[in-house]
Order: sequence, then structure tokens, then C-alpha cells
Amino acid sequence: MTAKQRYRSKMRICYDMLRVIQEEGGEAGPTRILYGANLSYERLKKYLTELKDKGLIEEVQTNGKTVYRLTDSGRMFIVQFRKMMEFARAFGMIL
Amino acid sequence: MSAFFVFDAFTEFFSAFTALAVAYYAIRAHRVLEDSRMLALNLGFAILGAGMLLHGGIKVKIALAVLSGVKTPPARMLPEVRIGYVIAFATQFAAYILILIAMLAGERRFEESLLIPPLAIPLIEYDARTEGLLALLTALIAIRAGLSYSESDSKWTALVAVGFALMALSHALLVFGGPRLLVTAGISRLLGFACLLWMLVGVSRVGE
Repeated sequence: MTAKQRYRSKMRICYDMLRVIQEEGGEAGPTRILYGANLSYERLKKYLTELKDKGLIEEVQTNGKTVYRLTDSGRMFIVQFRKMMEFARAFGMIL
Repeated sequence: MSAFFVFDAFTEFFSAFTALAVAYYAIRAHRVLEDSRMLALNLGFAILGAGMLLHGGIKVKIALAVLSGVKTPPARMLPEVRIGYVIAFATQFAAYILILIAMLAGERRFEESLLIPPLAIPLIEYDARTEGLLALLTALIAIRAGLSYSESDSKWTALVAVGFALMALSHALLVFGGPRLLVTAGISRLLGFACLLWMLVGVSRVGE
């Protein structure tokens, strides 16, 4: 049985972006996040602003380059999201 | 007689609290994932838990009456038992339909063919037809979870599949054996909900 392809939810996109930053060691540049989370530039800008507003990431300047750093709230969000994804998966739900 | 009611009420309460715990987790999942299927799952398990709590409460009341020496007619003749069963059946039927909808939402074949048969519910007690219907619904949920397990290989999905298979077995035992298999069916249902509780505990420890 093949599940119908579902669009990624907003929360799933946010999780994917945070996961990319975490996999990069807690800091990542916009290009890395864009490719890692498979986003368009417009959507990247929109979601980066949203993640900053929610306090899940912070924008910092390193060697004259803009990078995004995961905050403690961002790390907590990743843990919670993973738990809930496992719960959904237990009932056969693909996110 | 009273020991049987106490055991039956215990299995009912254990199942009810597990169902309510799953419902609570589903609403938390809805807040984090913003997925409407989680709302259906929450509603399904909440209805299931509420119905079982009520049914368990009625059984405790009867057990206490028997223990205190009050002369009561056979349990199957008591209107409370019958009303309790009808409510438990109606809530379980609605809950399993909701859980099935939550698990199948997004499957095109399901969305195109969803039909819920209308039901007329008379006052009954452990009726083979109602138990057969519940056995069918729980078996469908178990099969759906089993198919998901074959794709995802997640042990939590396997626990959901085994849990609902045991619930299906408990209803099937009542279809073929009637009320004389009530204790065996109760144990089977208890083990089914224990599987769901195990899944819940396991999932809550992911990433820790």
C-alpha cells in the first residue's frame, strides 16, 4: 500500500530547517539550510523570520557572514517533534 | 460473582486510562505537528476512554452492591449493565471509526470509498452482532497498522498492530464464546491496551 504523497506541513518545514542546523553542529548558513531543507529562497526567508521570532534560532555574524544558531528552545522543539513524529508513525501516519 | 465484577471493572479502568493517555498524547502531537489527523485520533481515544470509564463505574457499583449483600437479579438482567454496555458499544464503535479515519486519511482509495453504515441500537448486553462489528473494526485497525509496520519497520507501529489485534481477539471471543469467555476476553483486551501503553512510554522516551 503506497501512501498518497502529502505536502509538508509548516511545522515539518520548520523541523527540517532546525534539523539541518543541528546536523551542521548548531550553526548553519542560509544556503546550507536552503539546500538541506529543500526550500525556495522566498520560503527560506519567510521561515527564518518565523523561527527567529519564536526564539528557536538566532542570527549571528561570524567572520562577516550571517549564520543561524540553534537556541535551547530550538533544541527542545526538535526533541518534542521527534517524539510526536514517532507517535504519529506508530499509527501509520506519514508526515 | 463480585470478584468477577472487580476484575472486569479493573480491566475496564486500565483500558480507559490507557485510552485517555493516548488521547492526551494525540492532542499534544496535534499542537506540535499541526496535523488534523491527530485531532481525530484524540477524539477517538477520548470517546473510547470515557465510554469505558462509565462502563467500569457501573460494574464497580454492582460489585459493591453484591459485596454489601444487597439482593440483585442476575447481572444480565440489570438495566444498568445493559445501558452501560450500549453506551460502551456506541462509544467504541464511534471511537474505532474515528481511529480508522485518522489512520487511513490521505489514502486515496479510502477517501473514495468511505461509507459508514447506519445503525439502530436496541438495549443489548454482550451481543454477538455488536461484538462482531467491534471485532471487525479493531481487526481493520490492526491490519492497517500491520501494513504500516511492513513499510516503516517501527516497533511502535508493531505494538499498535498487536494491541489492536488483541482487542479484536477479545471481541471475537465474545462473538464465538459469549459471556462465558468474558474473563478471557478481558485479559486479551487488557494485554491489547498494555501494548498501547508500552508504545506510549517508548515514544515518550525517544531522543532522551
